[in-house]
Amino acid sequence: MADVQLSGVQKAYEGHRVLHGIDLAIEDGAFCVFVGPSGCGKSTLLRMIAGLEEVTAGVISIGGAEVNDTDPADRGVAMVFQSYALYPHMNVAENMGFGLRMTGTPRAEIDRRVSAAAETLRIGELLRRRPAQLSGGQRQRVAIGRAITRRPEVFLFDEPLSNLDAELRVQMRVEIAKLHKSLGNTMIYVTHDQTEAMTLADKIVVMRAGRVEQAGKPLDLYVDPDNAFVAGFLGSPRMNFLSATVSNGGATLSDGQIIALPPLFASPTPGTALSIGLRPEHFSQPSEPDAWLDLKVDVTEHLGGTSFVYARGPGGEEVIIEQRGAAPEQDQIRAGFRVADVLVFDADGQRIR
Amino acid sequence: MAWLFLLPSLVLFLLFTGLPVVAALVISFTQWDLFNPPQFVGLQNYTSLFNDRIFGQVMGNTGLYVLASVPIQIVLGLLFALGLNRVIHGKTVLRIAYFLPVVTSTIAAALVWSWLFNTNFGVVNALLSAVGIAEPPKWLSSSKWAMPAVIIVSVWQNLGNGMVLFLAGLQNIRQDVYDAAALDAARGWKRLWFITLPLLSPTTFFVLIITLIGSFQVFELVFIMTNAGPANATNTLVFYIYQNGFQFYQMGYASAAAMILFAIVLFITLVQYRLQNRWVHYG
Repeated sequence: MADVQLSGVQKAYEGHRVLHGIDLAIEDGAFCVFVGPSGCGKSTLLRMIAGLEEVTAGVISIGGAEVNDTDPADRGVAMVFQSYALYPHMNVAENMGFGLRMTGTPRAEIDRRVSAAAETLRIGELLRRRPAQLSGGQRQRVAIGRAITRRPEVFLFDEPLSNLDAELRVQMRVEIAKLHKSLGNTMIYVTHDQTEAMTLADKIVVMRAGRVEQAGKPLDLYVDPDNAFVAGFLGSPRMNFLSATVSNGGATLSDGQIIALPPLFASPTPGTALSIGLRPEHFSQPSEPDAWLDLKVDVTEHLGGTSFVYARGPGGEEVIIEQRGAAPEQDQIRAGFRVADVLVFDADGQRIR
Repeated sequence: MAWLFLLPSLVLFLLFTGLPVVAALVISFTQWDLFNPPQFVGLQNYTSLFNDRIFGQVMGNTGLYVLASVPIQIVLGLLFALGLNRVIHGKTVLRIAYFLPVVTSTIAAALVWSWLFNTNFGVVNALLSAVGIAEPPKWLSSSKWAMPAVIIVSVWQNLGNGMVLFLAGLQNIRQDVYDAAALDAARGWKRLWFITLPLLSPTTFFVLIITLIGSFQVFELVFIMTNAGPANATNTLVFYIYQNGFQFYQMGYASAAAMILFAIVLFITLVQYRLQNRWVHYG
């Protein structure tokens, strides 16, 4: 068991900086998810923890010991790759036992641990097959099995589900969650899929352009984001943003509608440009709406239990509204919400609380 | 429609490869001096070959040449490729340098090498004397050293071929597999033995087959450097076929020898194909 600490971690390729000083504490036994758009540096950061990329500056420590110059194999980490990275010339059992074999573990012990891992992942009948004879989902299980067999302190997952089809992805996601529950190890998981992040994580680290935008518990980030990027990245469909200017009565939208603002610690001066954030579900029959928006409807999607109304905001912004049951076909909608649900961001996207 | 597209190359293949092979098979059962009509002699050419002392020597020479040249070419080609794969600066220059002998005219190269191997005035012996070897080999005029000299030149000439193929094979090995190996503590020699070599095996197999077939067909080097001498010490199968056909005008005898060469190459290639699933791993 081990925690992972990053302090001031930077990465540069030939002077081009891709990570700008990451500080992060991942507690022992936590399931930590790095999430962000492609190119944000999340995979690079994971590979640095694994020892596959050198650390340009800063310190990475695992279980209290600095590992910057430790060989990847000696860090007590195991990694599951997006492409599975199985050894094509070895069968499943050889793939899973390879790491133990390289460190001189006795044959009997290897066999015992391989079959234990195979049982956990229900791939016992595949042990004699080659990777080429397996389906994508089976390969992914083998890749996870290879990691388990080594009994690492920390598991690293690099977008492990993105090569699977939608149904299998959900299934494997649940299995990974179960695995974390039964093993209790520290796990660090990289994904660009916010659903995976929200469902798996104890701790989400939202990254953008080589920086951590916000880190914390999934629901904390969802309910109380630090900035418009985090607010927009987490949640599906994404949060609606309406541009507005501060006026005496609240915020004036571009068509002159005025909506009240929730109580803020530091009220912005009138005339300041703002962005108003409202999640689609905030329109979903709130018990006592105290504000309304008049919107022009583009199209309505009926999903059975809920409907999504795609509408245009006063400034032409796309606004998605979630409604319980079937929404009537209409050209205009008067959507009610509670002022308390409104999030306010300044012109740079920083949250005003 | 498919046949229409295949037609151009098929016609050329049948005309210049298929037909001559069949013709050679037929001619191998005859006695023919090119000037008089061929006479059917049955298996007489084959029985004579098996009693031909020089043919025995030729087979021995060819075997020695193949057994020495092929492994050296493959091992050195692999080592150079592994080395070059790690070089960062000047990679292209080195790659061109090693590949240059492959595209150089064999005749020109063989001529230059016969000067280098000249017993009294050659650079090779000058260097050997300089490092203190009192009686350097007489190389091309020695029945003991002529074959090693031919083998050295053949290795020099074909090294680049294997090297370039191995380099391509190495670049085909995925980085993520190496990453996984790094986490599995496979480093250095272990990584080479357990990961790189097995994943390179399709390339190795291809290089082995191509090099083997090419080596059985050695001709120009022998023709220019030694003219099969001294005393048939460097006479190889293809040279012997040429000699009998175009110097002694024994087309039937030469064709029979050619059929034997064909049978040997076919047999070795088939055996290799059979053995490949024991050591060749296709990802």
